Amino acid sequence: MVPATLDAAGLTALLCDRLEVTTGRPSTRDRELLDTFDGRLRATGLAAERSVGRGDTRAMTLREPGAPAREAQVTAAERYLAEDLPPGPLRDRLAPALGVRALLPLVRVRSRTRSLAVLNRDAKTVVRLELEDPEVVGNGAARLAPRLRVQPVLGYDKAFARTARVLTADLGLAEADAPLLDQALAAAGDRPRAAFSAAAAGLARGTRADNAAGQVLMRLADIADQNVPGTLADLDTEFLHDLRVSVRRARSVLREMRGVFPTAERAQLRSELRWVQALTGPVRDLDVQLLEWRKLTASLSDERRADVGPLHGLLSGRRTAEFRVLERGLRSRRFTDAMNYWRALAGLEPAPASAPERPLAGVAIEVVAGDRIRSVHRRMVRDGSAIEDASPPEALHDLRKRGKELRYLLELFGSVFPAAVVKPMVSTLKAMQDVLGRFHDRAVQAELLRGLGDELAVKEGGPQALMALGLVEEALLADQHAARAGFAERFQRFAAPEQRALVRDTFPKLGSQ
Amino acid sequence: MRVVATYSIKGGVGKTSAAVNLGALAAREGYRTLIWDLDPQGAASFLLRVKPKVKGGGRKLVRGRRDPLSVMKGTDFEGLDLLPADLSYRHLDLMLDQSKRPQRGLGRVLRSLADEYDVGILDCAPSISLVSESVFDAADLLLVPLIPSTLSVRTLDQLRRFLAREERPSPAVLPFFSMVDRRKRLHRELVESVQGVGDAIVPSASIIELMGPRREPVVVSHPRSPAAQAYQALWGEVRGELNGARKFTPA
Repeated sequence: MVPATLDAAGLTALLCDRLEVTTGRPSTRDRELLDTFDGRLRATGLAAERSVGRGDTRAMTLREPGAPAREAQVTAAERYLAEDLPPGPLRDRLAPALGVRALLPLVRVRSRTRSLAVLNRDAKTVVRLELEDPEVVGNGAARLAPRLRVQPVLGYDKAFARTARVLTADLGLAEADAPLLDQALAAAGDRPRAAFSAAAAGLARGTRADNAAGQVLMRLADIADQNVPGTLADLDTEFLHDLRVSVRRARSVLREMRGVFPTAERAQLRSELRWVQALTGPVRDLDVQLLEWRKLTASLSDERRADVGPLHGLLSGRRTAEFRVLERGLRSRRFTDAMNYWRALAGLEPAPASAPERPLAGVAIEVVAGDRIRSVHRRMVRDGSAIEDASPPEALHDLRKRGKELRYLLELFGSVFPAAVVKPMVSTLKAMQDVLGRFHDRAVQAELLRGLGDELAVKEGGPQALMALGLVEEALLADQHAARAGFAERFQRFAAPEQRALVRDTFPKLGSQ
Repeated sequence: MRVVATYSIKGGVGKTSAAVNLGALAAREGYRTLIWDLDPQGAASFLLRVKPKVKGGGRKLVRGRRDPLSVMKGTDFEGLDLLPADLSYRHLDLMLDQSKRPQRGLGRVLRSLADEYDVGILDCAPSISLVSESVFDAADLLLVPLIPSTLSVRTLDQLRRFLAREERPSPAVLPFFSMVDRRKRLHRELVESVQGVGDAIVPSASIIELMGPRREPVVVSHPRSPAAQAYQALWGEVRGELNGARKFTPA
């Protein structure tokens, strides 16, 4: 609850006046608020913080409405994966929320706090209150509105209701509309975490294709840029992932928007972005392998799992080496030039009406994108229908690539089409892409592991690791088969006659309007 | 939920003080903790400032006809809740005896709370009875306060013999010295000679006695005192045992 007009001292005086409360000593809490880069804790209603201080250890606290605060002593690290935290209630609660993501310090807040307790006749606490007067420290230093946390005590519902009545009706307090983290980030000039990867630009129908595609490209360049420092700091693998997604999406825009950008410049940027994608690929492949390690080795017995230890070491070692290459690449002149070129093409002046190599530049985006969606969809239906049990894996890989094209078109330009059509289309497409993606990923993973065989054989414990590796590969291929078996059903839903009719009606062919 | 019972055949040995202090320490570390005051005298309830009364009486609760959450009370310490004592617990033996599989009675109630709590602490009345057998069935760890006296050590042996006779798997037994006065020679000698006892030694201290009038655990009122540090060390041993250290688990 946040008092609209009162300061902390005034509020304390009022609370003491209206309720039977005891006040604790004021204290100062200096801490950093933590979350994953994509706001996972915030999304699950959790709030984590760690103390600020000297030395190697910090106190980490996790709060959740209706549950006691959980605490643990942690090392003073730049980031925490779930496995970096000491075993105990804090880790037990954090681990499922974090998944494979890292917990990062986002903003420093110093608060004057005072605990208060509403008491009954036995001087027993029946409602807990905490008054906090916070300020952001460091970049964007600013005072924030005071906050009053009100916590019920089990078995004293009436006292809680009475207290809530006094706070809202008598003192005019209102419920806070954003968590402290959001307020602190806003004050520090940072954006809300969840918005980092949202690429969809709110385009209007009738926007010229060159303008619309330029806006999308610019937004993607922003996202790529935002993720470079995190990638270089190597705090969370997801920074690199998001960087790669934005590059892949930009490449897709360039591929699909033929006739919108000048030919030579378009070809040049496509070539540079292909280089960026190749530069970032090896680390990402190894990240996937390491992130999925637990899943990968889940089917092994405890003994065999211990045997594959050297393989994990090998993968980590290789990642360290590949990361150095990636780091050099991202700090290179070529990368800076590529990003500048990307922005330059995104911000290009509208094409003059007479530009012969840009015939579609002045056409409305819904016409150009609609034609591409219709065309890619039609081709996917055709190619997918031809896939049968005996088809080679390449047929599925090709279909998956086209599926990505379609998904990006729908996500990036979907705002100019009816949501009632786009949403279910994305959902059936996503369901199919999931099995195709699994089919592809397992093949890549098995291939990567196979490639490590020679190196592994000469390591200590290598022969045992190799034998266990065979089992891991087997499990990967079994999962690949399972994905393959699920394809037909998902494709049928994607290519259903009514879905095709809907696509034909919604996304007209170029020149047919 | 992992369950620890502060248990002794003898009375006045520091069971309730241990239960309340360990409860406060567990909650402080973020373990969702429950104390069940099984002693009709209601000392733990008193110390935690909760009326020793179960709405509707203890019988319904023990026989599974009342949701234990509906009669529980939060304490002054965040994360520590209390299932209060009730005068009717003086007939707890009888209540259990009238139910199906009486030895499982307390465990049944605790299982229904398993999702809500990480640690359960049973503060038992001094006796060896059907209630005790139900406690042995429900607990993962028996925490036995041991006054440094010959008779006290003898009752520990009695307890161990009793548990060894049981056909069902017994809980781990962690005895610890309680109310130790180092000025007394006998205390010093027994503390050094008795084997199989935990490392934490709770001293005989007036601040522990003052918990009564102050109604506050010493780990809160005097966190730096030797008594509070002893409870802290004891909690470390209990936590280790509950987390699988198995130092005190019977072979």
